[in-house]
Amino acid sequence: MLSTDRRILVILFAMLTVLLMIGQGIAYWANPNSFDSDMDRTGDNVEYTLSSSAAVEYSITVFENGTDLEGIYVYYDEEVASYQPHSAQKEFIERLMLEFDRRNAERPVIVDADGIADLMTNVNIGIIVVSGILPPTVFSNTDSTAVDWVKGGGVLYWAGGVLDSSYIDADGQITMLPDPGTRFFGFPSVNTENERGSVPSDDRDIGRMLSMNADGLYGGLKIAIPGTLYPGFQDDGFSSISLASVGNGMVAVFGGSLDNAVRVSLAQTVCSGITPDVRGSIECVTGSFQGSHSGSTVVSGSVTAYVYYGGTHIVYGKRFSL
Amino acid sequence: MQSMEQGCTGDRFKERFVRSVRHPLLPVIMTGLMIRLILMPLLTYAYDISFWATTIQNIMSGDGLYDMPGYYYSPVWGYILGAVGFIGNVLLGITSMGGFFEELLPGIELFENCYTSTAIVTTIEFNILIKVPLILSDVLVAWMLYSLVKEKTGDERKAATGAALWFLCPIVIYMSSIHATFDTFSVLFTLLSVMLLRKEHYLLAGMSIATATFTKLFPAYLIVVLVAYTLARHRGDRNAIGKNIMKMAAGALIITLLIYAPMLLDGTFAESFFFITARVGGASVPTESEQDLFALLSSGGMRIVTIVQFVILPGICYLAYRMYTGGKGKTEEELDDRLLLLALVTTTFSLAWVPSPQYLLIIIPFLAYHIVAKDRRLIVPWVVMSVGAVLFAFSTSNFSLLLSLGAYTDIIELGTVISLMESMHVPVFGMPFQQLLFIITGIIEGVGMWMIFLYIYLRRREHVVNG
Repeated sequence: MLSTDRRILVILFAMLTVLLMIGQGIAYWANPNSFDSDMDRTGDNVEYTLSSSAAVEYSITVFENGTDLEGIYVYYDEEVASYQPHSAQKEFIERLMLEFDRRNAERPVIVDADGIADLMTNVNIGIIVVSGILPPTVFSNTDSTAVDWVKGGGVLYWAGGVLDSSYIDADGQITMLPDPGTRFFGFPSVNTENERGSVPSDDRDIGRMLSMNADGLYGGLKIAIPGTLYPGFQDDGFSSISLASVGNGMVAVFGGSLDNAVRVSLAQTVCSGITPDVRGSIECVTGSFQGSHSGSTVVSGSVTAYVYYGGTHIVYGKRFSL
Repeated sequence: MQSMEQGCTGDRFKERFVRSVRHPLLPVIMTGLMIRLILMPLLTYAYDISFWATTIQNIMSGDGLYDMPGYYYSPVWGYILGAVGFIGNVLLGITSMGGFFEELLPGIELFENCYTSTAIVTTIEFNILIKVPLILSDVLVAWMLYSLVKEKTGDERKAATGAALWFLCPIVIYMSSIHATFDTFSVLFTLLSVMLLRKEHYLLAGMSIATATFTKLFPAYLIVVLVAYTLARHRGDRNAIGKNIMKMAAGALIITLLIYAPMLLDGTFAESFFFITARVGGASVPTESEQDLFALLSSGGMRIVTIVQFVILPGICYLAYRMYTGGKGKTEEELDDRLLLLALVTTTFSLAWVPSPQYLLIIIPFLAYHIVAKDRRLIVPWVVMSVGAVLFAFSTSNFSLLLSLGAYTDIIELGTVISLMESMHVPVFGMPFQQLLFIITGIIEGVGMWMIFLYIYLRRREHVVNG
């Protein structure tokens, strides 16, 4: 016969507390999940070994012409006006760093407005800008340092605003510019309407391979710009994710606000190293496993391989240059 | 000799088995479990559960509960998700928690204001994984309610009926086996704290009510009631009062430190209260689109909820004071009755602003107890409130409940589910049908809640009239 005996209540409470503490231990003190991957190339043959304590979906994407950068930087300066509130930028950047950790990539180095000007003497780097406006040290109605740097081979990752739509004047005020995009692409090419894309863009297959699902169109690039990869979604002639070749460099534009989908898509783009030139060479292997899984594939020339686990819910990633 | 002992053990086992099979709680549990087992894989509220998947993803990556977005509640449920995720991903080998479905993108803006706007649909095995602990919690609450009623009435049938009024209650079934929300754990800890207090286990009662509060805030209102009960029970004995109140406070403090240790160490303490600060913050900012009914209800409604706290809190304190003063000369049994009555009144009063239906769960055990032990007529508000709440919940989630089925099985096409979801937005009387249903069902739920006060008032008046 069941009874409301004090002892049973105490045992029940103790068991529930133990359950909570086990959950806390898993979440904070002793994460039982471990993930790893390795790739080894011999001639044209690449052997890979994947390992995960948890059952996961995996994806291995192999492509040519990946980025080859000396470093990744992210712009953040509290002293300089911006389109995005500084608190929003800060929070986004902090979380972006964790996305890089998940993907076993070196965290981007935070640079201020003066630092970005110094960096733009080197075209072998990538700079992430999420302020929604370029700092006055590299861009204004009379200063085209940022544009020249991209054209010279620099890689600009842009999110959180309309590229080339405004600059910061000598008084530190934001001043609007006509025809956004003209200074980078030669013609007005950036969306200024707050919309979302729902139609898969031309290169959506690549977006699917990399679980890049950002669909915001505000600030998104016009579709059909030559030499541009569109792995996101589109509507009204604009795309949510665009990787555009500009001169010898690249501008990757993520439309919409600084939301979760943009953060993940940006992290996947930077950490995988995809460029507009991967089109035609990119291949993907997917599956699921627990414990370890190995296999091989044949490649030719210099390639990049990007491994990630978790499908839509990415828990691990790693890039290999082969 | 040995065979005689074996025979005795065998008989005892047989006797216990027969007694268990004939236990009046068994058919209640079996029926409730059967309904839940059928619903669990078929219907799931896609929106909330997609956040539980993200939470587990973040835990798996070593980012805890608050470093990355996805989990916006206090940590108790997050810890349970940590354990559940480990069981699912590591022990049971569930490979996929969910996927991104592009077909849902065109409707995202249409569904944006009604919490069905997600393009991430969780897998059926993941849905089951999340719902199992919720259902176990439902079972534990049913057992505790059975024990409580049996102890108070000495009647097993009444006790089983009380348990049935919880375990077979439509909104309780809906919340664990369809919505996959964790309010049942808050109820579990709340009821446990009341029962521990009645058994004079003050330390654990304090721990339990604090855990309930850190699961879903609303049990916090009951703290005043539990303190008043302790004061009344030990009236005149200052030492006992001081000692027991201190024990309760110490229990609450210990569990708070245990639960919040990681957040206190990593500086994410404030984030764990996001679900309060975001709502109260949202309430203070005037919306730009007040012509939109949902925006009006969510921002204007939250403003009202914030303001009514100035009535609710003093009101509950007054009721607790009345319990203390009115408890003079009462027996332990009578004080018990007052505690349980006040628990019903407090939980109902604290939610009298007609909340989202999952919050009502905390009222159900106390209402069920009063239906079987005190006043059968309270079954009327039980029916109106629980049916209204289920319809209210459906008005929000509507056909998005079929998304997992549409995405992962051949039972129904995903396109058909999307069409059904869109059909909820057809204008009726100048507003989308979904919003109309939201208002009507919200009113039904509210009427059910307010009827509880009516029946309590009628009963008290009868008592006065009958001397």
